[in-house]
Amino acid sequence: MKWGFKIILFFMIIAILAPLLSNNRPLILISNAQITFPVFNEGSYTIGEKDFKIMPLIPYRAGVSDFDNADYKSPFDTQKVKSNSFFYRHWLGTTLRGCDVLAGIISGARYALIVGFCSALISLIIGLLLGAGSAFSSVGWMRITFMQLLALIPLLLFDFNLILNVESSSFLRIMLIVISVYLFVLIGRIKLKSAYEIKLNFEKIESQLTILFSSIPRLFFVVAVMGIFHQGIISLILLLGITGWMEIARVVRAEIHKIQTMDYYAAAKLSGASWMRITMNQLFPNLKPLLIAVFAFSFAGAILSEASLSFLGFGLATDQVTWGSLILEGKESFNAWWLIVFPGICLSSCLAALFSIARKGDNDVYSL
Amino acid sequence: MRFIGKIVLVIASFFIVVGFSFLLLRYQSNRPLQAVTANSNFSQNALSVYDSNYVSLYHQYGLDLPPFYFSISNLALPDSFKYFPASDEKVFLIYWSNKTGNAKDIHNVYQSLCAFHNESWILPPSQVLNLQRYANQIIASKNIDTVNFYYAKYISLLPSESITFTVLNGLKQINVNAAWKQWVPIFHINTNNQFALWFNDLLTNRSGIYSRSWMSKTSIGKVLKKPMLITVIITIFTMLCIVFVSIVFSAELFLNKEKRWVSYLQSILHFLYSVPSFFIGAILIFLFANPYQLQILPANFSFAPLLENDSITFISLLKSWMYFILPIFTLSFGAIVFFTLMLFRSFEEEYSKTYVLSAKMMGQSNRTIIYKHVLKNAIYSSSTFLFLLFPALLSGAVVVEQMFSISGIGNLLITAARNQDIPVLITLFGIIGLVISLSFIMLDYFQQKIAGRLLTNKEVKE
Repeated sequence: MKWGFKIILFFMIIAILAPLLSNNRPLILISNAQITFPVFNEGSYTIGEKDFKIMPLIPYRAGVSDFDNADYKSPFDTQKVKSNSFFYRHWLGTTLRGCDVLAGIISGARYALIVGFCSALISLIIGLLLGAGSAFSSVGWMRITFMQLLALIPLLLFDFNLILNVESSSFLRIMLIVISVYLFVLIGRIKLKSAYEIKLNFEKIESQLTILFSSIPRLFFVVAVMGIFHQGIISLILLLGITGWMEIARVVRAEIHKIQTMDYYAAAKLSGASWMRITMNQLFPNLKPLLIAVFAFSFAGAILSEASLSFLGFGLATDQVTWGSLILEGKESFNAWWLIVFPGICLSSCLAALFSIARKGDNDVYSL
Repeated sequence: MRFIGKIVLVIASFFIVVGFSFLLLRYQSNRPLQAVTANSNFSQNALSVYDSNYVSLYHQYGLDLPPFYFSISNLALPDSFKYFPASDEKVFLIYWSNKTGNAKDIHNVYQSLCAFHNESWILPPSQVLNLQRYANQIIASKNIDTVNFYYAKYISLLPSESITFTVLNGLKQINVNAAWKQWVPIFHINTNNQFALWFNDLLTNRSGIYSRSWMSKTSIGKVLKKPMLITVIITIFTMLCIVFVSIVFSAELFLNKEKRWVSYLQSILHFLYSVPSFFIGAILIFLFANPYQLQILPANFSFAPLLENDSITFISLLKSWMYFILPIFTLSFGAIVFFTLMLFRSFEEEYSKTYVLSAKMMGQSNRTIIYKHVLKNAIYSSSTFLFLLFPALLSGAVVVEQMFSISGIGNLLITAARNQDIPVLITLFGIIGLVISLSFIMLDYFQQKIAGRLLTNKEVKE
């Protein structure tokens, strides 16, 4: 296994086990001969002096303040901790409110990976659909005839109005949308005389759409929209997913064009293989390394955008600690180097691992 | 000819971007007039949706209007129903428009409803009760006879100015049995919408709502002028810095490529490429602008002599050179690493070609060959990325300007987004979209005419 995969796997395990690794509730509590697991249920619990308990590895929760160690305690300072136990020390220092930095980094890994993975997946799906569609349109598939183009605008407006405005049953709405799609396909089959048969290429529309979407910097767009909308993890994932597909579409289109000129593709076509067979046996195996590279690259981009947004104060809600928000807190104080260095190293190593995966996956596209 | 078509497309995309931002405003969850009321006598907490001052302000800024107005189907209700506050009236009107298939007439009833109450879209509580009572009775019965019944019952009791009177009269005139009409598509456009208002302000009205900032109440030109200049200055310096440093750095690396430290440095550069700019900026501030460590360079741009006067002069620019060092280094760091690695690779490619061999045979030194012959060819292949750098720099500027408190475009965007200063946001979006699409066109032109690498279809055929 390459080191990039190892690092990402390490962060993924941390992200999955985050509530078990750092929490201020005990993992197992045995009191009055009753075993309870306070980590998993939210209810209140009481601890007697003689009770047996097992605390998590880091007995602090991200964003919960420890007022004894407030005002930027460095990792090397003397700290007022509950017991002299090895685990109760703040190993990576504290913030202004006394929150543990290590716990913050673990919760940051969770949020970074969730946001990065989901938004990269969304942009991969959009980019793959548009890129593959536009690549196949030059072969003769997915063309829009002139009649379809004429019908497109009213049908789109019709669907748009249906989705947004009509407050009738959802069944009727879905049926009407299906009918409008069917109408669109039906109009495409109308054969006019060759003089009137103007075909509009899907590739041209897709390339213009790509230029349109990439004409606004991603961070600009997301900052403006997050300022207007309610801040939250779902809207962040959706926004980063919608603004990240352009590069993927461009690369996938170019790669499919390249595969279509290859001899094995022509041979498969000449041997009478079906569309599905060509896609599964020739196209997809040759596209797979590129898709991995592209996915890793947009994963890294999404993580970087999420960190920058949290740094600007436009990311997740304020009680959710991320790497960017830790660096933002570190910027406020001139002495708290541990707030900048540790999250920064985590962020950069995560990005470096993803870039190395991208570089390994496809040497032509993301090579340096 | 090809470029004219592209420019037309750019202008079209400018309008799409602006229209999209209007569409976003429709679904905002926060208080939309936050920027307007920030500096005025309104107290933020006392303002409610039913407050008459707030309502009149809302109307004055045109926010009760729909973002666009187009409707192709009768199934689609008029946009104004979205803004109807109480649910009972909404249900009532929607029921009626579905029943009669005549959204247009229902819309007229609605508009007459609005006209009565200070031209606002919100009903006072007493009238709401009146209408609710009536509406509930109609909804319960769902029958034309009950309309006639209640019409006869209420019409004599009501004064002629009353709202219920108008609604009753309006409903009476609608043909209830024409439910089939809802399936017949009708196209109607209303010019009284937010997009049209904005477009009118853009073209003619310099004192309109959308041609001045809602927060500072000054015209958008004034608000944008200085931040634009500062950002342009920083971007140009950063570009120059990136080009110069990466060319020299990569050429020197290539000249010493046999030595061992170069390969170490290359792997370090591969790691440094993935270090985010705000991390580097934070470390730079911590090291060089820290009163507890070395305080050599200033980190707060707002104290620069550049900003003392309203106009930026060349002398003030020279005086504040210290303030530019940290931001420009932070902004250009990632791009310098990228271009160095990239140019190094293209040097390797170019160096194996025959013209290098002939130059070597003529007895030229290695340094002359690299700087005079190889560099020219190596830059062509990486010139694409120079143009694509521009959007990346603008994105980075948002972070860097916030970090060093530079009053540039990024900072303006953030304050506008925090306070929902909509005209400034829309203008920023438009300008940046235009600039970046123009840079794409320039890239196309550059690749065709100057680099000569890509040929158009016509040239290939010839």
